[in-house]
Amino acid sequence: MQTTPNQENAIIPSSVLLGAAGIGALVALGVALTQRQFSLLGFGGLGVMIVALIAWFAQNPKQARDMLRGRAFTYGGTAALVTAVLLVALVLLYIVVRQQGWRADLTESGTFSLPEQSRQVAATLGADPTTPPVRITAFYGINQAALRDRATLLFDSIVSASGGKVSYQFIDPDQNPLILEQYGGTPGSIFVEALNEDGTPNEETRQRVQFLEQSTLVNALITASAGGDFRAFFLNTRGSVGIEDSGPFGASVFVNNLRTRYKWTVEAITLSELAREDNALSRAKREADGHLLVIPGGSQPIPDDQLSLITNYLDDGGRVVIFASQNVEGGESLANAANLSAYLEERFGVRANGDLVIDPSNSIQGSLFQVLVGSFGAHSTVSSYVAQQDALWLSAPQSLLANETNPPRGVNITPLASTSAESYAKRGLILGREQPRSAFAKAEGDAGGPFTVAVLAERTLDNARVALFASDSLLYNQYLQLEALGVRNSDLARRVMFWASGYDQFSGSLAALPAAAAEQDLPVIGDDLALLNIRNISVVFLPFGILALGVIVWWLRRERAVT
Amino acid sequence: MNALWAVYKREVGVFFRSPIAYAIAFGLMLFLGVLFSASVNSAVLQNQSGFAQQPITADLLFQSNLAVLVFLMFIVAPLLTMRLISEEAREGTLEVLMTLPMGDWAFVLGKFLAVWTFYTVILALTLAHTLMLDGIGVLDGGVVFGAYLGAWLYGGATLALAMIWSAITEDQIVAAFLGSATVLVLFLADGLAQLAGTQDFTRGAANFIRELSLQSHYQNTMLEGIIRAEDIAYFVFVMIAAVFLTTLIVGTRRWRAS
Repeated sequence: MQTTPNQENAIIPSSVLLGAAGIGALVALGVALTQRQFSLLGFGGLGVMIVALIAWFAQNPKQARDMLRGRAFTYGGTAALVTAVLLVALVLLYIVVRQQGWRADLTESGTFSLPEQSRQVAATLGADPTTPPVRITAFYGINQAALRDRATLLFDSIVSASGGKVSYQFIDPDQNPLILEQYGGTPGSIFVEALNEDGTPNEETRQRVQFLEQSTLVNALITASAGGDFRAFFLNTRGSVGIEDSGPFGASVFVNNLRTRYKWTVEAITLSELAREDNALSRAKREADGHLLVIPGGSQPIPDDQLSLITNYLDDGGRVVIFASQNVEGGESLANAANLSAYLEERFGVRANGDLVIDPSNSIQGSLFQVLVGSFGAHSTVSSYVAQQDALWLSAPQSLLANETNPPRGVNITPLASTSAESYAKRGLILGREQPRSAFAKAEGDAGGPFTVAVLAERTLDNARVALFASDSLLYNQYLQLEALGVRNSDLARRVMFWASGYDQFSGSLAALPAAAAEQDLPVIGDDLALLNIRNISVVFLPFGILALGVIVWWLRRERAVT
Repeated sequence: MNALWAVYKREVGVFFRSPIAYAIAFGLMLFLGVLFSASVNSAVLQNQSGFAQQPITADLLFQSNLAVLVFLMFIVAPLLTMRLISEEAREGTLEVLMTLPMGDWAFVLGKFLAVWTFYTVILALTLAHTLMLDGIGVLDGGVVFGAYLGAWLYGGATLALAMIWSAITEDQIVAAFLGSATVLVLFLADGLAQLAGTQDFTRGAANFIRELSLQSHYQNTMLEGIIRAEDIAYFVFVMIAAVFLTTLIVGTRRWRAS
């Protein structure tokens, strides 16, 4: 390298400048490869490199020009240096692009984004000043890298919709096994938790998300941020659905879901316990953020003196959800007994009729006792349900009276779901006895549908609320597995309980629904002709067409060559 | 620019007049066609029988078709690029070309763009499969666009990588073999990263290895309809780096010869 006059007068020697540029590059590269964020140190290194190179070029313009044009630079050892510099520059540029995190979900069905309803839920959460900030923690290491790539888009979508109230972090479980142990998770686990004012996680609100799916994640966000003390008491009477019963006709899954996912206190309560002065329900009324008495069926009427325990609670602004069941031995059940029916009709304009609704056009698996209901009313609890996609599967439902046109004073009545116009209601059947199918046929005198099968009544004066369902099958464990097919039994039961207890107001919004099935989810279907055409085109015409074209080209070239 | 255009035109002409190029396209389309036809047949039968745990959708078949295509690039890319520069060197035409008034970069870039054009035509032919799928199912336009954009960039990157070996060695077979190994290693780097993640002493390098992987920038993102700036940047930067390296190697030949 020749010494130029400029170099002789240089303020800083060229070797020092080039050395500084090299050190700057090394520091920047080191930071980029070892740190999670391209920190100030990295940017500093990058800056030193650029400034030193510019200074060197400014001090030695001729030498720089000669060097760039010279053969030694192009082909000699300097070429390796230039290659290294280019590679480093590209790597740094890549890291900067990567940190911008720009990404887009191009899918028409928005597979990796939030659907509108979930977006609204996240926005409500973000706008509510009473709810704490929430953080999503995903334990994704190198083995879950593919999941991380997909989750990032969904998490970004939630963060953006919530206005930054929700944040997220990825923790490598291999590098942080202790943190993973603290959370009690496994690699790939996702947790959602509210943050305290000092930014530390509130462990009591911690929710584990089983699947990376938007509705599950948003529901966990609601639960984690809502908190609150909500207590539901299931009345334990003869023939009622057992809350600890894990059989197909039990409600253990539904109840466990309330307990674990929504942190509700759910207990069974008997009439004798209710009769005590300081019972759990009255305590909940005093202490909790929300309280609720649930009547999960019951095959026998209850005496008037015990009924007064329920009616007194309601008259004092209580909240009751009734799942009416049938008395299979004939006669009245708890829900349609004369005493309770008269009270409900007089005070709330609703009651269970004690008949059997049959809907031949919507019966399931050939059983007239099983009715599919897909017609929903106008209320926030059912507003997201779509006819033909969402339905209730009711077992031995009875019709309900919903006196909308002439309700008791100060009571608002809202029917939630009704059967089809082809349905009819039969009275006097004893369901526990073997009966010919003809006994269930429509006869003269049978009331004609549509019948209300779920109704809400709210007394504005004292905020007393009653929800009445035509069947107790909404609580059954056996229908939970049909949720993916659009059977909304437990979903509606839960939503109505949230409404009755005021939990929906407390948590800001109702739970998000799974994204509606997109038409892209339809299976491929083709007849024999279509399959034959596909085979012919893809296996014969397309490849052999290319081959024929190649042969023609070769032949023409050969002829030309011969000529 | 004129020189670049001249090289590009000449090379594109060579490709479309070369029986070898047609043979490669034929082999690839036949393999893809047989696989595609069989998978469509099987999917329709499964959907009709109700044995499929989840319905097999058009998107799923489309994605597996393109996934196979990009996987096969470890064979196709070296076959298409092996003769690009090594043949010129072997036949002595490289020295003649070097005497022409054009930069090395124009020579290399022209050849790269030509082979990428030929690959684009092959990729476009697979649109026939996509259209047939759209006839028997419902395709997601976003997934199709993202997957094709990714496959196009993926192809460009693998061709550029394989071309380096064509500049290094005069033996086409060696160039093809080394090109194939390079692309395959970068394809499998994703799995290698997972393996590295399980060992304490290699864990730190696992993320770095994954970032190098071709598959991690395509399979989990662009093929699914997710477009990330980093994936596009990765493919573009691989092409820039590979073309630059090839240019340097070609330049070194000129230097050595003079």
